[in-house]
Amino acid sequence: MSAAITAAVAAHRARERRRLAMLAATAAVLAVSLVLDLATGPALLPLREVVLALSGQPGADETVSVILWSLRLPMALMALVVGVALGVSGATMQTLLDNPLASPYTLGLAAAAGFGASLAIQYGGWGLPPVLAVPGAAFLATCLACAVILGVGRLRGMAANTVVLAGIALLFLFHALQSLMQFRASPEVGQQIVFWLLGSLAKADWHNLAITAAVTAIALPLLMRHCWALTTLRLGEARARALGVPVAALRLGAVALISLMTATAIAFVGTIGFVGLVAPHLARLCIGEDQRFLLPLSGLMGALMLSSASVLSKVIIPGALVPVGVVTAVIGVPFFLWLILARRLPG
Amino acid sequence: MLYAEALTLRQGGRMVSRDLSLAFPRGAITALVGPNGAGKTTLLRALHGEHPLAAGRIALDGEALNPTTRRRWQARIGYMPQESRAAAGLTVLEAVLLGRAGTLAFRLPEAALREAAALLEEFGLLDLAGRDLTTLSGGQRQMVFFAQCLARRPEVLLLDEPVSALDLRHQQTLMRALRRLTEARRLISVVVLHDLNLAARYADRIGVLAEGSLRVLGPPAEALSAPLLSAIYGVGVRVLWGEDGHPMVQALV
Repeated sequence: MSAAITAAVAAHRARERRRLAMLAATAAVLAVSLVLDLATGPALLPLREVVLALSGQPGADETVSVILWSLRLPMALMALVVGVALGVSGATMQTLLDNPLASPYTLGLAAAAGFGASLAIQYGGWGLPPVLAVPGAAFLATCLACAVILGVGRLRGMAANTVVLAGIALLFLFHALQSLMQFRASPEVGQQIVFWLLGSLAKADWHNLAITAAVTAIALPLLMRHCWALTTLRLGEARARALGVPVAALRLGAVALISLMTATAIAFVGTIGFVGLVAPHLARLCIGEDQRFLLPLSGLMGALMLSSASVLSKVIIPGALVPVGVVTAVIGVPFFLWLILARRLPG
Repeated sequence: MLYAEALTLRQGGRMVSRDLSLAFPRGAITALVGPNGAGKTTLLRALHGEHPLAAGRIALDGEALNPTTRRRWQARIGYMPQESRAAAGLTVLEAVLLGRAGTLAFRLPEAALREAAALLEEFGLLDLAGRDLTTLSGGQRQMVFFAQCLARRPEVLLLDEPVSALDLRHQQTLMRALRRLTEARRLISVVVLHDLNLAARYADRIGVLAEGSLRVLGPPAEALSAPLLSAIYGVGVRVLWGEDGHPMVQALV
């Protein structure tokens, strides 16, 4: 075996190590963001107290413990879980549909959730309490949208363009239906709908956190099983087929999985835009197309975006909680424009 | 032996090939030539198990191609389509590795990496191993995709215009490698070529396709006849004989 081959293999291993280091570094920044998220709020808690209360050591301030464990921790962790779900979903969608603009938001899934939620807010929850009815309706509407997208897609052999166009058509449809609901609602109900649509982590508690985390934890390994097939898809559909990747079946299975993950996340926190679109691009710039690393980094980047947006949402206007969906969009839009101008978008 | 029997292929309702029967032996290169739209690419895609058969049958060593055998079938084939798109963020070495995407574990085995690097070395591309695929020229990329095909350790090679973007030297490099590998590994090689002289020089047999039917299949000297080529291409053609005994085709313009 020649020395040149050994050198090329070593260079590849070094690249893999750099990517792992990038993952570790992002996780570390994320941990810092999590602690900051826990410390900020109406009462600014000293970092030392936060760490002390989290570690459960004796001597921690009881008030701090209560604020942390029953209020801030579920919200902060929800930001991470939803961020991971949206980041990974966006990355997978962009790859599957060969479209840099694909994300749960642009394909109408979030709009469908918004419509479902406004329906439940407006007309009540068929006997269920709103705390169950609203996320339940959002979830069902998202699944319905996904079923329509996949149904239309299947008629055309899951061609990427058909799936994207079906998604965009649904985006407009559900936006229109959402507007109709708002138009017909009384001012109070209308405000509730608007608040839901803006997306907020304040709805998080331990129960819905557990559900979202469980769904994400089940879906992620199932997606990661396809990491080599997804990487191959980056070379174009024709070549992926040539290399034996069952493209249509992969699209069908993975889009269903992503929709389930997104539907659960969005149902509990409302529509949060741009994380699913921008986090994967950021990850791609840092780490390349090897999906073994790209999917985890997209998840971490999504979590980092949402977690830092959560911190900002509490400090931008002192004493007020700006909906986190607004913050992600306000940060996301200029960043996205910069990405476009820098011509770094693939495709 | 790879067989296609009484094959009828349709594309969007249009008949692409009708009643096509061909056999491709082991250890030989069969070149498919013919004008644009003759159905060459569709035939390759059918042989790969991607294009549905309207009628007829395809078999490899007695095993028929059908939906239940398709996965196993495709694992035995190295198919190089014309598409040469590349995504930024993949290195040349990674692209070659993806030839084996179906069998790779989450953690890459050392042997797979070494094998991919060895293929690059064979084509003089090892210097580019760490380069981003998008920074390569079209020709270099085509060589990388050829290496990717071989990384699959195929029994059958189906190459769709593999030299279309290559300069003169790299055309010879690729075709010579194909010649050598076909003989050494007893591959069934099927190559779609537009360059008739390249086909004459390297192929054992040439199949001339026009309007979806096979006009002739035989050794270059037999298949490349001036009257046939003139008729199917619609230009005057002269066939000369090179010093090495291979026919040379010249268009009369």
